[in-house]
Amino acid sequence: MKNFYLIKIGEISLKKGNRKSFEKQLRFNIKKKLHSPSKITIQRGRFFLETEEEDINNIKYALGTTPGMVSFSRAVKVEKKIETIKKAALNFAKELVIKYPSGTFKIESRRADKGFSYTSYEISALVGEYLLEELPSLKVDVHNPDWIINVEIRNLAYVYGAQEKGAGGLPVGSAAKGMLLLSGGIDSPVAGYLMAKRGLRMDAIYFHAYPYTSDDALEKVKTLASKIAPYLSGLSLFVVPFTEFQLLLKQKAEEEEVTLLMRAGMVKIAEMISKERDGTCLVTGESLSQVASQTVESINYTGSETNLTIFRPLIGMDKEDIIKIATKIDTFNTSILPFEDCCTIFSPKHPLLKPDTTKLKKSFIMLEGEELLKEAAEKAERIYFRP
Amino acid sequence: MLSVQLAAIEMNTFFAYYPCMESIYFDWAATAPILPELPQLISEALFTFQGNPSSIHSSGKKSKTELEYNRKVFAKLLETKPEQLIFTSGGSESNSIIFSSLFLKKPGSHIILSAIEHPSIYEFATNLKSFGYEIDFIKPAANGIIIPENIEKHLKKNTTLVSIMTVNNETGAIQKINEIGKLIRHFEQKNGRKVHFHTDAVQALGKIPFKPGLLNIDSASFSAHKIGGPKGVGMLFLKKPLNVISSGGGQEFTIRPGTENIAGIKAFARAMEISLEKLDINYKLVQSLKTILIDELKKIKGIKFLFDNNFESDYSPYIVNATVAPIPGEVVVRMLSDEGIQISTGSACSSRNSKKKLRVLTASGISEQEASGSIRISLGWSSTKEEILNFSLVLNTIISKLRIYHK
Repeated sequence: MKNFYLIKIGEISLKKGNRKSFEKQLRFNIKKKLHSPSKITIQRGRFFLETEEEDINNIKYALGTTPGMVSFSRAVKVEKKIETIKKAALNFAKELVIKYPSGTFKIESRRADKGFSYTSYEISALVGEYLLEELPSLKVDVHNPDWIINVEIRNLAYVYGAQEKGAGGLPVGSAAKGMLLLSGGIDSPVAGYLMAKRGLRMDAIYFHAYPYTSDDALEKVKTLASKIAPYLSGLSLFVVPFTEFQLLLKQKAEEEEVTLLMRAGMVKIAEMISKERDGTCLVTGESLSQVASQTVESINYTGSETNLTIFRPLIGMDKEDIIKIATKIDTFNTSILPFEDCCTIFSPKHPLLKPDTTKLKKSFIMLEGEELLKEAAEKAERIYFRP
Repeated sequence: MLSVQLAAIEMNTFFAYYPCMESIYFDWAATAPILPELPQLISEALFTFQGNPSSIHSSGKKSKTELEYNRKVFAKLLETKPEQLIFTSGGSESNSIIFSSLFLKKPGSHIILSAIEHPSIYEFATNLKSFGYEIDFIKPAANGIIIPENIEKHLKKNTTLVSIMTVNNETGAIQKINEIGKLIRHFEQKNGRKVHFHTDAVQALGKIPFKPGLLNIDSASFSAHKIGGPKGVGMLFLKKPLNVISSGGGQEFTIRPGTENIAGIKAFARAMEISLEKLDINYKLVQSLKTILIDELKKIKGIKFLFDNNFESDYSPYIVNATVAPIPGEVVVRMLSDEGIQISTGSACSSRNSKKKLRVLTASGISEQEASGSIRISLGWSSTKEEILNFSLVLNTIISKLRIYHK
């Protein structure tokens, strides 16, 4: 195999009886992303990936965007001989020296095979000494090094270079399946990302009000879907034609109720499609009191219009924190593109802030829009985005 | 990573298919279709004039000769001196040459602009504010036309630049450039200091009579693709040499350095010849089409004109602006596009930015709602009466359906 990686799982290692199923899911998710033959073996909480994939950046991207691991490092497997271990460490050190020209380092060793003739401390000392001889510009700093080379003695000796941060969390597919309401704004992709890290598999749904919203707005949502797809381990985006329902609202609803009734229509369609896809929950990017439809009262109402649980992972987050994550997952710059939908013409100047759920539920029934919603759900177009 | 299975999204039954004809293009103010003879002319010119006009060998000289020949063609057509014409990449660059030249002058001077300038001027000037320039934006009167005396009133001792566009790209209003120029010249004599008077004449060239050399202006911007030439070619008329900010190989009298686009310039010159040759015929044709169009639009319930006298000689016959408010203009534009009819909301250059797109119309005294409902129908030499009748029919159907929802 061309490349070898050591993957450290985080939260999975806390699992007891069902740990195997989490591990299996993570293994599946990683292999799904690598297009060349790959093998993953699991030993005492460590994942070892061997892959024919040659492009290191591809592997990095695949591993870095897969929830369920805390870190990963490129590694080599060598004979359990101190001389070969030293040489392997030197190869990594040469790469790291280029990255940190006047950096400090440390060797960390673990001896799982107690039959090996040196202790962990001795291994670190010997390898460290060798590196200092070969690369005199190096300095040791055991407290705060710029980089670490790890040596692990198991059935073989494993030497691995710099650790790359993983996405953390749990593997997608280890929890149930949900439906993400994806709007094109900053929040909803972040909500999807956060729930993916809790192991939730998701489809996404977008409400397209053409010709009121432009096709550019749809393209933007597709771009967002493609950007979160690696984290979500792939997703299907459902594009729902929503214009007719919005026009019904425009015609029949009280102006101040339009936004909330529209949200109700959205969760109802999301529920219909979700159920057909074996989904059992919805995910939204709502953050408490960010806009009129996200007050406690408004959230209570929209939540009451569906039987599915709605997860709102951003509910207690500030915009600033949300933007930080959006930047990290590279959705921010797409989200702020100015293809503003002209939904503004459907939204009231003074929307309700503290709606009465009972009254709104009645208003919703008075709309007699169930058939329209069903039709819209049926006409939804599915687009698949690979992880 | 991205795998998209694109299937056309089925339109709602609400937006049922309207029986329609082939594509109708009514967005000539955004760009005109290329004149049929030009693609071949361009491709031949690309082969024939491969030398760099700045080279001193024979193929370079051949290109240089061709370049200067075309400059003379323009000079004759526009009644200017050849050295007053600088080839550029288009209207926006021509405008930017004038505005960026201010950086070489004393900072903090005073500029007067109309509030309805093209974004390449309006945004540039707005940026100049942060460099300490003082800017007065002059709004037009309720008919979209700037009152020349309003410009005069704002002229100050330290005014260095006045910029007023000749024909507005959204309303079609023709500004009284020569009158404004006269007032500026008069002020200069009194004040003893030069004021540069620039006009963006992109929508005027080849459409209404416009001879820069005979007007009281110091510079004017033009673009080839608005008259059926290729995109990426334009021109700046400059009465007198100007110190400019960009430097390079000294081309275009050092005003616009960079190797010249001979094939584009040659095609531009040909487009200029054709459009000036047919200026009167086309003007009359389009004027009569505009009258028909306005009569047809008047029959449609829910359409209003921005200015009551939108069809008099104060306006270019090539541009008709109406409002379908409270229906959003962009919705109508998209629905028309689905029926093969291409028109525009506001200015195509900025219609993606909602905050900025209403600027020109609201500055002309149009309410925000009416401005959001505005649609621009711009005609050209190949537009026909039949197209207008078909367009009006489809527009009527769309608007009468949408009116139910937008009261």
